[in-house]
Amino acid sequence: MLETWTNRDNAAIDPTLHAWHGEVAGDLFLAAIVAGIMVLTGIFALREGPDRRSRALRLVPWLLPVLISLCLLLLWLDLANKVNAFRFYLVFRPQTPMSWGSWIILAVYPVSALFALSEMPVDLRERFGKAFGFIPRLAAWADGRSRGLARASVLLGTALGLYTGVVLSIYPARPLWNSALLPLVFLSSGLACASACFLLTRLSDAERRICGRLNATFLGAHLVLLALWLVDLAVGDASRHHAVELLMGGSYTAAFWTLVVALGIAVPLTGELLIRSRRTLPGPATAFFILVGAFSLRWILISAGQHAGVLSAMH
Amino acid sequence: MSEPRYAMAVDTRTCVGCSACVIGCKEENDVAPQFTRDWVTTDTRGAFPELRMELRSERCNHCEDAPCVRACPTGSSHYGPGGTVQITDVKCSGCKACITACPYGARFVDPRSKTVDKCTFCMHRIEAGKETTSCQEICPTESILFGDLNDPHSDISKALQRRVNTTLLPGAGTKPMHFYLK
Repeated sequence: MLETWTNRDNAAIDPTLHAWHGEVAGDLFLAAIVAGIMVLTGIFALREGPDRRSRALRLVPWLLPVLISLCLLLLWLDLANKVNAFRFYLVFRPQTPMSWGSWIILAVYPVSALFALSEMPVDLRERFGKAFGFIPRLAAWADGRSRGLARASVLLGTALGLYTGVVLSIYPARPLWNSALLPLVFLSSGLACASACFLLTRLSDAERRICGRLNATFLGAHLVLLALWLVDLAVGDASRHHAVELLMGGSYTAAFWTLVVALGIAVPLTGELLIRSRRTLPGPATAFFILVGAFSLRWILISAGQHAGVLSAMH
Repeated sequence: MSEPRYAMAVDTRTCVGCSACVIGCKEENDVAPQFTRDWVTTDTRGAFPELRMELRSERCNHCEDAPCVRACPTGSSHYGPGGTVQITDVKCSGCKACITACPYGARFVDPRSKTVDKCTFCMHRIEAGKETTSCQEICPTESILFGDLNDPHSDISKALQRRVNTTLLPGAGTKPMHFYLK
């Protein structure tokens, strides 16, 4: 028997760490959606000319500056010392993923705005051009670089999607997060979220079918990666084993398996298979389940990850 | 003369867990109410009546490979004098990445300054020419040793050479500079 008692009782540290809350989960969720949208809209733009894509699909990149701003707002709300937020942008620390992330998020602004401009339909350019004269000029400049912007969008989106997992996975002190598979889990989830967001817009039937297929593919990959991540933890040392037990019989089990696996993956995946067999089109319900599952995954991981620390060798 | 390498050692045979170190630190460093930079941990092991108890005065381990320094996006957490880990308040954004990265739970957000706080090995005292930290000075059983590991004649160097010692969570790979004499 080993019983450990301490007289330390620091708020948000003891008895278990509770430093990061819903703001961080929301921030990672929005960043994942942004990442997915950047990757998918970039790929669509590289594969098909603007005249072969629906107006809705071409307007989706306009969501990016809005979502990334919300993402930054949540990040700022989580800071204890908000007046020092600008300090993120006074240095670049190559060994610190959070520093990479800050600069990646900043780079998303110009790239996504220019990419959205290059995708902007002509009638909208004319309409907004009457109020803001620089828009048609900037759009014309972006038009000449549309393929480059689409490639930059794919690259930056991939970096951002991976970053949302890397930022958690680098902490050996948090065994639940400390896995190289976590960035891939989050990237696959982000891609599924993006194609789910597309389903909430007025896509053409053909695009809706493509998004349904993409959803199934990304959710399938996400499911496999989640399983591998759990196995990776389960076969690890005592700390990792203890961490994964939170999701496999411990206090986060019900939430994880119902919200993330059943509601967020199994239901939309089954729905997609039914939709295909009945030759109908995927709709907003599929998107809703995917988005709820993706947010729950981040919320649960942020909470459970702080709950599980490194075990002493003496235990 | 080489740069100092500051470290601390706690004698677990003589520590009585009186918490004087905790009070001394709070007084010296004006630690926020309800928070502590150091604390006492009691490990009781065995089966009754064959029980053994170990008391340890714990604090930031001033790790040589500090995950908190690696995690800090603004450079606020950094290696300071003598290889210690220090925080520059004016650079701290309170992102709590260092708190999450620390496997020892040694850091917290000071609710008054909104910045992260932790043990500094009383660097303000050392830089002012004193040779002891406040916890060391107040310890009634002289269980706390602080000094320069690069000086083979320092009390801490001699104690670590002479006595069996350990660190907390050696498997975490952080190379703590806080030792426990067995």
